[in-house]
Amino acid sequence: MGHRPWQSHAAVAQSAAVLAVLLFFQDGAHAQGRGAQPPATARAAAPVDLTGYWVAEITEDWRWRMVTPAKGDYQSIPVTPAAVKVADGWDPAKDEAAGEQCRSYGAPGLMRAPTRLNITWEDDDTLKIQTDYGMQTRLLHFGNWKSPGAPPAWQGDAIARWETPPGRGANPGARAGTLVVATSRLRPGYLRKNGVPYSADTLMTEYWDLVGERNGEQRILLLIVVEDPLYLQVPWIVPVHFKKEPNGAKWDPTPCSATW
Amino acid sequence: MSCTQRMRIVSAAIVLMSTLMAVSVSAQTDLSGQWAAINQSDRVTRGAGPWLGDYTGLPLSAEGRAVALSYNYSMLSMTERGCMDYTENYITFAPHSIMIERVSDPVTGEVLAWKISAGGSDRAPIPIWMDGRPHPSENDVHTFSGFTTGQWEGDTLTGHMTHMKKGIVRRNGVPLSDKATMTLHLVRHGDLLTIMTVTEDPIYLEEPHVQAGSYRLNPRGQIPPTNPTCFPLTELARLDAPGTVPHFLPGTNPDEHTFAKMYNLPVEAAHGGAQTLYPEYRKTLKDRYTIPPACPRDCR
Repeated sequence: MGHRPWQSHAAVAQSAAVLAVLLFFQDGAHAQGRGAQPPATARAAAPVDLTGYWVAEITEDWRWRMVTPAKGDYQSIPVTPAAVKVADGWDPAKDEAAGEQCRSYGAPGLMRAPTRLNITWEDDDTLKIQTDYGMQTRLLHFGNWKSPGAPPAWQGDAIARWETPPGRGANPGARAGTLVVATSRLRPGYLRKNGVPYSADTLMTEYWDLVGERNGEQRILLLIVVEDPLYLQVPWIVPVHFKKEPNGAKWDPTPCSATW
Repeated sequence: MSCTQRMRIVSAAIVLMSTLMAVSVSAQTDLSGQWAAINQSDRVTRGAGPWLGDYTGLPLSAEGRAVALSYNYSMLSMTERGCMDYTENYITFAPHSIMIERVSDPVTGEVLAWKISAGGSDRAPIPIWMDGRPHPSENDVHTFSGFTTGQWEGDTLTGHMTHMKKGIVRRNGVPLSDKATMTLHLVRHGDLLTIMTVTEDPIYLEEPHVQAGSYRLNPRGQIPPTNPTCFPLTELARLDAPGTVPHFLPGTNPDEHTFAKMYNLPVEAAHGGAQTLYPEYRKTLKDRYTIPPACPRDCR
């Protein structure tokens, strides 16, 4: 059969047209982000919905998280000699007497604690995380929030942003996005209940991902990176996970304790 | 149509196709590379090994606990049990670094699978098939790789594994049956990778066992892409008569209480169970636990 040039030309042109249409639709998600106005608030831009009640599943480091370990038990934490010196002097009775019973409830220790979380929007640009363990409140600030310059606190200053995969836009149903949080200006406290310290120069970075299971369960997979030039030889990097609960029926606020 | 016009159309088509492919690829995360394990939780359990009788953090069923307490390390001396520690789920509690490869279709270039290999652990590589192939019949052979299909959910690669071999959940004899399945979630943030697994076993676990571990990208890593699968051979001298399976009968395991006593834990807490994993269990522990006077062992 002889070759007909017009057939080739038409085929190429047709392919180009099809590709152009495909590209238009493929780029739709981008277009929403480029052409349309970006969401005005962090709440509107949230690619995943982290709100609700969540419970920590203590399947790693159980012996160090569910109960207070012995003094001198620093296993798994890359402590410096300076940290060992401080931790070897741990005295929970002294902490209680000094009103310092919340030292292990600062953000770097709190997120590995045996706790439930209640996550809500404080306002359109502030995500609030409450814990029943120690009755703590973390405020994650999006946008151009500026620290008021208050003294360092157990929960520090937490700056948050959404990290959304390119090309997918803001779609709460797509589970496509990560909450990234950087926390600094922390009041010195304990990484572990038995006095393993973190200093005022600590920076904690968190990556919050939502994952779905085949049985319909939802989990938060939280990766925590704690950097402390004084008390950690290298960053302490630990993942934790929380399972979604239907409601707050098991919410059980308990105050800080230096020993339990 | 002139030759120039024809060339322009072809060029436009190539540009469009390239752009499309770039968009498609950018919608996934590249997981390939050498990943160094970050063992900053359960370090000794992952590394040197757990204490006998330490089942903390495991949602063990009564059957699982009974089998675990019957375990005798000499079991590993048996040829047919020498590989029982190296089943697919070992990735969830092993200390080893891993290599992840993108397996591409040689013709289309599309991702056929992501393959996870672990060096120095006698483990077979785990391919996570991305091409939509179906799982085999449940009666099909169970291998040390299992059979896993995956899909992207956002930037998370989620795999579902079936056809797992009978093995363990912890290296002190906590069992896993060949009815088990496992979901893997792989999440990358910069040079950090986290793998969370959700293991379901209708026989030995009361509820899904969730565990996570992290890795750091290591350009100097030397994990090979393939590993010799565990060879069934005798690794330990037989400690008893040939023809028997080393074990402890119920109530005779000399280490049933060792770990619990060492750390002042109630025995039932040390022996796991779904209820022990959640914050409310601390109410059960509160009046029955006292802080040990000193760290007894493995303190750093």
